[in-house]
Amino acid sequence: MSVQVTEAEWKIMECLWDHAPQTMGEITATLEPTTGWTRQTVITLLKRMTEKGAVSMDDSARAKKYVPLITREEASTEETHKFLNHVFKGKASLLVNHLVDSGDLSEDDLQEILNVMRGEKK
Amino acid sequence: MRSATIFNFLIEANIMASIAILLMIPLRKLLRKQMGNTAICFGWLLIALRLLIPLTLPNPLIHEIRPTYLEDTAIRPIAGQIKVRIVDAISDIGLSLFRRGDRQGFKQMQKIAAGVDYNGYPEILALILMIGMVVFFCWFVFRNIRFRMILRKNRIAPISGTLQEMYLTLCKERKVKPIPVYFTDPVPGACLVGVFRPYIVLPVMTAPQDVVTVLTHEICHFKNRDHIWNILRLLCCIIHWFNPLVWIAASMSRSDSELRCDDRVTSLMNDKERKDYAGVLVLAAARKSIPGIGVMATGMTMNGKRLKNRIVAIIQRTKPLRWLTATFIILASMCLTVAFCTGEWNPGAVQAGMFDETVSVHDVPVHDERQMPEDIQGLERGIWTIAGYNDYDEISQFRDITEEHLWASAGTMLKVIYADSNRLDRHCTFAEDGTLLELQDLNVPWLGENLPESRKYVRDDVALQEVSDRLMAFLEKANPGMGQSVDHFSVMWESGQNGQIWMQIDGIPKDEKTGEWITFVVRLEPEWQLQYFACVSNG
Repeated sequence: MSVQVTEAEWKIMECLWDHAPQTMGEITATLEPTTGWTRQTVITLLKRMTEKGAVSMDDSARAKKYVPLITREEASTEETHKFLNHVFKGKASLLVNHLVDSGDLSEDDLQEILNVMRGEKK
Repeated sequence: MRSATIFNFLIEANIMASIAILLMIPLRKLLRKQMGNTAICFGWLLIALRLLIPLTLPNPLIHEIRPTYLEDTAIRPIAGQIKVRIVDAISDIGLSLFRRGDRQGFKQMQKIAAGVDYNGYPEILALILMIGMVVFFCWFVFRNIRFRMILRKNRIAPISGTLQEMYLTLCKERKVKPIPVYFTDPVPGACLVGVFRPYIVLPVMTAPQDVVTVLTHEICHFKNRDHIWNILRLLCCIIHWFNPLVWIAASMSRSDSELRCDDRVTSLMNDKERKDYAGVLVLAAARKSIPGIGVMATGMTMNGKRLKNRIVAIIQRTKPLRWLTATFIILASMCLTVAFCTGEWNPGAVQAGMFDETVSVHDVPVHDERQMPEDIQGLERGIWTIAGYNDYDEISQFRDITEEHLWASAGTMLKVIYADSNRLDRHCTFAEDGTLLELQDLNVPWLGENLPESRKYVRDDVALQEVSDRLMAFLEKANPGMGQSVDHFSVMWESGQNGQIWMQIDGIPKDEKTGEWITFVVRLEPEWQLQYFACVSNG
């Protein structure tokens, strides 16, 4: 099941992927210095993510704890597909061409891509 | 509402506003730095007022352009000229087709010209215009409701804590009443939303160090009343949806509102703060955070070249020339007043010749009391007067009377002629019992010339009824009782030239076999004058 995560929700997911489970207070303490978010903001975002199925809440303990339901790889894949569809009409080749033309891919990067593709085919 | 009313407003507003928009475009490009963004926004406001307010002020010169044969006085001169020119152009095309032997094309053009002139095309066009307004209104309402619903759904929380305190301090500094601010996610950028209960939408991903800058920008939009400006822009686009210049002006005025907002934001900033502000704008541009033109929300930024010009303006910050700004505001306000002056100075003058009351200056002896020929001169004076001729004393000097015996049944008729060497040539004929049989002024254009057709009165039922009433009143004075034999009046022709309009209107008897057929030729404009009367009895 694909779950689309907004930029703000991604920050919370990053927090949970680094260390899970965490309480809302812990997540707020981690994110507040960089984002300025209050508890109210984090609560609302977590509630939304729970409804979406991106995180689940364990309320067996006194303080509710949150765990991610999707992995970083799953979320990355989903975002990549979304990005490819939006910018490169779903074609990865167009992205690669763009990266090559813009000089963002080094020789080593290209070699690595080829190795991965050969590995996939096997 | 008549289509004439709609066209009067739309044509006048669009012509005046289009001229103003075409003047504003180079003005804002060439003199922005010297005049300032506030003056430019004021110019757009005046154009919006012209487009939205259906006000007409009198203009002593506007009557000069009223087309001579304008059918309907409800159509003002400018709209009338447009209509007449269109009909003429279509007729000219038809004529050129006719000369080339294309009779089918000629007939088609005649049909179209007739449609534009009096066969319902203006009404159809008015309906299309109204439908367009409804469609655009519904589209804008849908877009705005959808936008507001998305924002409501994505709302996270109102700002609180330290941020809230910073915001309240900012509002106090800027002397603005605080409005609600909501963190929202996802949303491309910050915006001021709403009209009657505005609030600020702040992306939850806004970096803490940028929050104050972003909020400053939005509250400056609020202070500039840009949320109300949005409504004016939308209304202009809805009502004048068919005019591309109005859409261009709406887009330009939106950009100018942003620049004016920048002026207010940076007015209290030092150089470093202005550079930081410019940086925030560039970052916001990367997020493509502009709400569409149909959405009643202010975005924060622009893209492309406009962004570049905006950044340069923020950093350079030149002060406008006060004298130029004041001159522009005064001149623009005067031009707006003139732009509303599209009404005629004295609408009553157009209706000179329309009926207001029956003339009754001299008494005409009632039928049974007429002693012919003794009373004939009194009869003549009275009848010429109520026919609209007030010169009996002058013409009676050239009076001559003869007896005629044209029909045995008519007995001896008395014909009174008034003629001189100076073009006076009138007569009236009476029967033995004093019945007026004929009245005629021979010195009239409609006798000798082939006059152009007029349709001013023939299609106006109210005006025709007044003509009929007045003729009936004449009949009752001249020949009491004769009017009772009239079943109805029928217009034979209407012609007009050089500000005069004539009409032949016949009284059809109830009994066509034995009743009296009555013919009137009356000059309706500039003043009422009965120039021919005749009654013929079949009995």
